[in-house]
Amino acid sequence: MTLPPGVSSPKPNQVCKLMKSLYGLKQASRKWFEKLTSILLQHHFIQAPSDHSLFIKKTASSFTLLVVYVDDIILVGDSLTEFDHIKSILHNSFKIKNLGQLKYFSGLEVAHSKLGISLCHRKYCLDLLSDSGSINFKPVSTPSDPSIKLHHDSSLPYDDIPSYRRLVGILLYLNTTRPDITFITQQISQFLSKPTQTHHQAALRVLRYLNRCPAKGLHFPRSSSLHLQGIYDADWAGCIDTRRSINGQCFFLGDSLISWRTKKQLTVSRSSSEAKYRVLASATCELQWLIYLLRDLHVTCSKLPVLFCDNQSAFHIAVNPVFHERTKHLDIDCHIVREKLHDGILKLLLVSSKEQLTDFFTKPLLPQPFGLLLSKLGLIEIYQPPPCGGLLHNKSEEENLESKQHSLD
Amino acid sequence: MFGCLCYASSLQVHITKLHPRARKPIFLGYKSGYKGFTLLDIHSRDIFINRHVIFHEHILPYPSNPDSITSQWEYFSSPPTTSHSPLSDVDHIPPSIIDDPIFESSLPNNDTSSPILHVPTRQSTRTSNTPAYLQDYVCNNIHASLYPITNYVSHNKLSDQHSCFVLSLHSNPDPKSFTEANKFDCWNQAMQAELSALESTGTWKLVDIPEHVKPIGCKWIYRVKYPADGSIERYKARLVAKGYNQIEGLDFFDTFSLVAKMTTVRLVLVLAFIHHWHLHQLNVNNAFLHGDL
Repeated sequence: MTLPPGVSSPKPNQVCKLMKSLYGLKQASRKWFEKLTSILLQHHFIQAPSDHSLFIKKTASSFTLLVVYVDDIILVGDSLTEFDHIKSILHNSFKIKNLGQLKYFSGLEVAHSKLGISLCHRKYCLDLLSDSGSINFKPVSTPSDPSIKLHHDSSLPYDDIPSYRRLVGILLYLNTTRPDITFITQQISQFLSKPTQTHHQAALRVLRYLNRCPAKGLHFPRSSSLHLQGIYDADWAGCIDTRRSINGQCFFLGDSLISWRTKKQLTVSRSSSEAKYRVLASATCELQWLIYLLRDLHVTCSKLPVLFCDNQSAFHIAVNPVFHERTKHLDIDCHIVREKLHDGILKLLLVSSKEQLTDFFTKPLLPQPFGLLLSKLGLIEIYQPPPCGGLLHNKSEEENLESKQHSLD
Repeated sequence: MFGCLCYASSLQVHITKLHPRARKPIFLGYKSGYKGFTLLDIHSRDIFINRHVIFHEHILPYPSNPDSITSQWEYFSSPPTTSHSPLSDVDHIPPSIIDDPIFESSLPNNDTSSPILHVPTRQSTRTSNTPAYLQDYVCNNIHASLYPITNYVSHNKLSDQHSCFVLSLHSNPDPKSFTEANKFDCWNQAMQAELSALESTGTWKLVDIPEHVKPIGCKWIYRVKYPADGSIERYKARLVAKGYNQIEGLDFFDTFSLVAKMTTVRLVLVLAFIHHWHLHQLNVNNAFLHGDL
């Protein structure tokens, strides 16, 4: 590196040979993570194979987890003395700032209460709304318009492409606590190269929806069982341009929603059962990963993990080892699901279409079913006053709400 | 400046020697879709658009009589729809104004003697009401404060130089380059602190430049850190390398770095809550400076 301005060298023609990384270098983040990993491994942490940014230390008396997000670290464990030990180790190697109890983690606001824990992105969301100048937009009740199906249309192209891309990027990050905008984000992010006015209008509608409930977020109840359940569905030929289907899947641990996804399938499916079967395969992979992760965390599930769907034929393809005329080409997908079923690591169950939660992730909904599914997924807004002035709530829930707000203050 | 005198070039192709070289209009504003200025000719009183204009911002041909000004403002508040057509409504301006002695006296291009006229800006008299559906709520977004400071602080009474000085104090911009920052003691101290910190960790050693090697550059980034109350917490200077000049395979190999998956974070939080584990949070200062190359 050339000499920085302000540094004088005794001889001319001298340069700095870098021994440590500096901000701005391409490999800076990687080198930092390597260094942190080596130090943690020296102190008897184990890097979890299912997620390499998760470090686990299990001794006879204590159990400690470390989740690393660049320079932010979450410490989870049952022993405070072990916490102090780790903090002193890290403080001697680097310099750390102890932020105490987990409250604000890379934009994620964590509110604790007696009955549950709640995650939201309220500040991030409000910043987005005020920066984009949409704080005074009229609120709407759903993020997407059910009468419009987005595709490569022939309306006027939207000129300010960078701002559209920036908005989509922000919405993608918001997805970490907002499953309600997952579907529409997947939809509008398909048109990053050539957005039109219609797509921009759809993106603005999401902002109007966020304006209605900026603090909506996930709620994890404390009294939750350790039972993994997944629900999957597909909107057959949901993409007008390519006629590919749209996957929707979500996973619960007990009553807490922990993982969800909306994704367009990579190939065209000839029938709806075929489309659903493909989702089943991808849901199986995700479920398998979650099982591995739980095993790394030394957590045993109380029951066998279950996958739900409303499609009978996809269920039968998976259960019966027969190749039908129409399923000859489903080779790889078939094998992975059947293998896992045969190993007995998961169970498939049918569910009626009325109780199908994944409509949320595969199609735009009307306000009434949208609100219903929202409450089923455990999305609440802790800043909102309770309905009917709180008369319908019992006392414990009121206390719950108050303590949450206290913890945020 | 609205209403100031200007000279618009009237040069065209078919023009004779004795034609006037310029027209004498006043400036009205800008019209969207055109690159020129919208102007009102004083003599012929038609509105036209011209690109080649010389402004005399201190000369205002029409006096600052409040009545006549308001009538002009009301009329011109919406841009004229057709540009080159003479407008009949220009007759609103009393003809006596055009023959006004001030106007005549300001005609010579004498910069110092002409009086500077201040045009009062029109202020809306409409009272703003909160929408009916928001009456039951306390809305911080619509009325941030009942007594906004802009109503009580004014720089009008200050002289030009003094108001410039006050404004520059208010903005307190971060310096962009080393030469800018080097003039201030506070920034010099900040840079010394950063340099000594880098030297204490042994970030670099000085060597002679090897042959056929092009060193990458570096620059200083300066930021004033403000706590929530707006005072100055500290001056922060950070040395960054110009990583965009690095060559892959020579200066660096892999750049990918992991971060925690959000699903993992959620799962860990759920488990911590079910098992009544403690949850703590740490932040590493200057994390990227710790990596070994």
